[in-house]
Amino acid sequence: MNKKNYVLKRIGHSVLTLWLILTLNFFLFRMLPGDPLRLLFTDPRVPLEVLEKMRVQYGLDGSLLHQYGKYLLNTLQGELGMSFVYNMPVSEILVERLINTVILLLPATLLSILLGCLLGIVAAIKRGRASDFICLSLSQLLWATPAFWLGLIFMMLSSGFLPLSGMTSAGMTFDSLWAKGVDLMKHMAMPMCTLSLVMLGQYAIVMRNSLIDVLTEDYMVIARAKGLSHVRQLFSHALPNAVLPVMTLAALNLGLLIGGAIQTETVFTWPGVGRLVFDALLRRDYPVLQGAFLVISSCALLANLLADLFYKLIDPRIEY
Amino acid sequence: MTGVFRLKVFPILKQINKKGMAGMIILAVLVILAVLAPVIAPGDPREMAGVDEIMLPPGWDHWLGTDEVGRDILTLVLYGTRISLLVGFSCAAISIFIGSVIGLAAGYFGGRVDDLLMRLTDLFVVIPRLPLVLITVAVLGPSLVNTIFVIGMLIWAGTARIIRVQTMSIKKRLFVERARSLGAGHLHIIRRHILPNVMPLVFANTVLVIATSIYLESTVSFLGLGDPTHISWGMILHYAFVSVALTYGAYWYVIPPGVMIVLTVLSFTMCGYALDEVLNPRLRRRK
Amino acid sequence: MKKRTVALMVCMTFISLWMAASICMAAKADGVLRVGWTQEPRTLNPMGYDTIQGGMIMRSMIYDTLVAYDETLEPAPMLAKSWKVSDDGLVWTFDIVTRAKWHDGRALTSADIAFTYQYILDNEIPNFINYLKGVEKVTAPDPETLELTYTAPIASTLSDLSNIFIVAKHKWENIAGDGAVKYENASPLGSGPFMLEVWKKNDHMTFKVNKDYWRISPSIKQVVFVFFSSPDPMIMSLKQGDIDVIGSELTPVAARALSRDSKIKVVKTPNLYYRHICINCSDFGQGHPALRDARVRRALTMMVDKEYLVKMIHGGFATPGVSLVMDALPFYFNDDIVPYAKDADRAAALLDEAGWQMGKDGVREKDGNALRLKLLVISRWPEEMRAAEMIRQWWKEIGVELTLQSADGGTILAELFPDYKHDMYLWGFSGQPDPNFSLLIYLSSQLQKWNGAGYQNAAYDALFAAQQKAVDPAERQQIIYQMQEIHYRDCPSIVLYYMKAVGAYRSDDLEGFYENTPGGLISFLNRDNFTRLRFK
Repeated sequence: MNKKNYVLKRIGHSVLTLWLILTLNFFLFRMLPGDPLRLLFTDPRVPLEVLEKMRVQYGLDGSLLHQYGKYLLNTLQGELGMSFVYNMPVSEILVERLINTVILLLPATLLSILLGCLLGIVAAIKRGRASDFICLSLSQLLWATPAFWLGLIFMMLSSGFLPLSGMTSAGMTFDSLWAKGVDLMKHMAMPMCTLSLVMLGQYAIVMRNSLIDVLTEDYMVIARAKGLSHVRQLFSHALPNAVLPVMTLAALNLGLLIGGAIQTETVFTWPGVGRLVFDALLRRDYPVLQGAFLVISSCALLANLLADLFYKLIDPRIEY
Repeated sequence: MTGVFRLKVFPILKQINKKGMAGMIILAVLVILAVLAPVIAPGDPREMAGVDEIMLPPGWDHWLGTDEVGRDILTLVLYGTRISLLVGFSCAAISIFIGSVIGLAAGYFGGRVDDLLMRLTDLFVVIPRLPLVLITVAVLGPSLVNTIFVIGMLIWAGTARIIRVQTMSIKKRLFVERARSLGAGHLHIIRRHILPNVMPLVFANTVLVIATSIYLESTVSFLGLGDPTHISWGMILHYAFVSVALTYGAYWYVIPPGVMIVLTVLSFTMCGYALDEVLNPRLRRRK
Repeated sequence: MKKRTVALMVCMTFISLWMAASICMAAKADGVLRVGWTQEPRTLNPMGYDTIQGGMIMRSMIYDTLVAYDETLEPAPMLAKSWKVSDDGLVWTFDIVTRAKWHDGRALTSADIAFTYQYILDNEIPNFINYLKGVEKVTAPDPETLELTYTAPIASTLSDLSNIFIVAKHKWENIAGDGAVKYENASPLGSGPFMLEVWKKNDHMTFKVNKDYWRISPSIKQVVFVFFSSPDPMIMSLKQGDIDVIGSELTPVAARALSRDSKIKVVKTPNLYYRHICINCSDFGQGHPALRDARVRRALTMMVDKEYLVKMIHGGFATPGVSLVMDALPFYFNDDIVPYAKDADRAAALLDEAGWQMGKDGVREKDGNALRLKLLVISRWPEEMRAAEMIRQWWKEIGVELTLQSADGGTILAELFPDYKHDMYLWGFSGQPDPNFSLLIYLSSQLQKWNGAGYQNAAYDALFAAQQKAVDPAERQQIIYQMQEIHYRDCPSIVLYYMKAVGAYRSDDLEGFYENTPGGLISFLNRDNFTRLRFK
């Protein structure tokens, strides 16, 4: 099977998985006990006629199959329903929240990759010695630390000189973009540190292992024989090859990153998708949960697909 | 099959590296603490004290201080060990069972069955774990049984993949071919030839799955979907957060449960990696 | 090596620049009040299904009402500057202020008020229809006069009218009645002291002052409600000065943490709010049959040591409950009622009398049924689960086995309506300055609506109708006293505690709070809640 066929097959798999996600998403929320509409209108004064009208409006009438069909059609058109709690379209809320989450996640991921790689490089170079042991242990320790707990610890330590919640200071007007940016950075500092620290463990380990592999390859022996300095060996020959698994790991990790984001955003009250999911869970806002779940899973699916294709396509060692 | 185990246990133990040994020792201590919790705990987890005993810092009466209703935190943490270990082992049992069945079936039968099962596995690998667990527990209602059930049902994918690969490689070996040609049935082959060679791998993986389960349960409990009638470390942290422990400065409320989670997950992980190094034929080559 | 050092130096420079800049940025905007809150409203549609929080914001910020409560919770003039009643008590005439304006500049006249009431009556808007009970005719003979004609005198008229927000005729005459409830109302048009500027859902809500407000000129220029998902970050923000006030959500631990700070003042006020265990007494529902017997309910009530719960769980931030009228309404609260003392022997005797004999396993039984009950505990307040656990242990002493289940509001309501499947549930109840609403929830006519206990008592219903018509306060008081006695004997619910509202604010920055008005620092019942606040 050649490259093109492989790519097509892989995309086909992803489409199938997407359909499975949609179906799981639909049936998951139908497992509720009781009438979902009663959950929506918790005020007992609602007259029955109004409830019936709401039932039609929220698409909760008709047989299960009928609802499923409607759901698939609507979702593919980007219509994700109305939030029970915020009384506005789910898609609107999600877009806003996603942007906020990306603002937090992107720097956090970059930082964790950077720090993780540093640790991994040190561990690989000093392999077998004390520094290796320390770096590895540190990575494993951070990996075992729950993101929410680390967040709580940071909150305790930094109370007083850093804002502890939100993305911006409420009620303040900023005259310049610079001032706004600084305010944002102040709010972002703690959540970003938390997220980076819990994620860097695996980058460190992967970087270490793949670098160790690379350092024993033939072309590295040749580079050493050529008399290149250690640093040049590292940066121009070893790293580029070792970096590949790290990058694909970053993409595959999106799922875990979302989990970390939910915890961090909840603890630090960051107005992103994670906190939205948490609040929606508390208030049983099912349309939002359904929409968020779909978006999150689709992003993870896409990241997986891209990482897989990228890895397989550019790594010359893999056969099809 | 038991014969296989009896033969190999001691050599395996000898090969486990230092970190793995440390992990096993810590785990043994945890299990002892969990079992003996009702005996050694200084207080009663259900007993609530008066207003004067709320949020006391660590002292002679309460080594880890008290919480917002006056309960001794050391007691809570000790009882939490039971729940966390219970959750870890139960979830792992469920997920190993499902993962093994699926992995074995996919690897052994191959073809369409493999394709189908792999699509299913892909689904659970791709979907972000925490949101899925949270939403399912929210829908089913927060209770210990539900949490265990949901976590177990959603994390088998990694196990399935590992077992599938191993099964496929074993299947290719000569003695399986010979058994087939002699007319042995599928079940017989799986039981006598494949399982014994897959089991060690499963064992190493189980330990890692336990670590993941404990981690997940603590997060779910912290976010408010834990079972309020059972104390786990995550629940303790949830109550700490909800009763404003941070503003109060109650470091004794926040630090111990988290340290326990880290310690437990870390030791399971270290054991898991150590066992994996010993038992996984592919990894042995790297050293 | 060189590359690494360069990179390191660049990073250090950035970090130091950033820190320097942030230290210079310490200034705070003037005249902006930041309120921390964990309950975000669902909508700002006055006709729609709002939660209590939404109603609160609309009442004190955006809209005016005909009459309003002052800081002693007595009805006081608002859009109506004076009023009189005809001798037969059937016709109320209100004089409307002349200077009131809508936020868009148009004048507010009695036509708007008449339109609002007529709209509610015509479309049976569920939020408000009960407050216009008995209204036969609404007329606006001239722009400064409003007339309401009733079919029978209603004692709580002024109180009821203070709950209805007045909306603009020129806006709402274009909104069809059957769409009123779902209407999003993204730009509310009111006549109140503040206007909605921005609402970022799940984040914050900003109001700016209405400079042309007819009644008073608030000193605060902007009010920002900052929404938090959990109390800890909110309280830390108050401590750090990122917000200025928390109205009423502090727990005893939080209060203790904050009182150590000299810049913050913690204020405890009475509240029109209690938590109760509502028991399913209905004979048509699916609850445990034992609960239909008042003696069983009384025995259960007897075994709940409310003093103990108040001490243990609420650290003195509540008072033990007894009657369905709150102790914050001293005129109507029947303090002659002596709360049941915790008495296991008496309780056991009551159960024996009701035919429930102690079984071998410590659980009472009758006709083959065991006395096993289930209590649904609202999940929003984890401390109540602890109370429930204590109650479980007390009830075990008299042979009642109780299972606990944590449930959110939706789940509880699903159990309640329409089949009354529950045994009992623990929840909160918010009352109003007029006791009418507190009494209403046990009426037979409120089955499937507010009557979660399924209680049906013709005598009680009759007394309710009587107190509604009793225009003489002393007469009304006596009737309400009697109703409380009935509730006390029949125990359709166990009133656990009347909660106090505990709030906190930065006292070295702010002043002007009403610290004695029931409802907390942000008591939305008090019409001057935000209007008299000042920064020092």
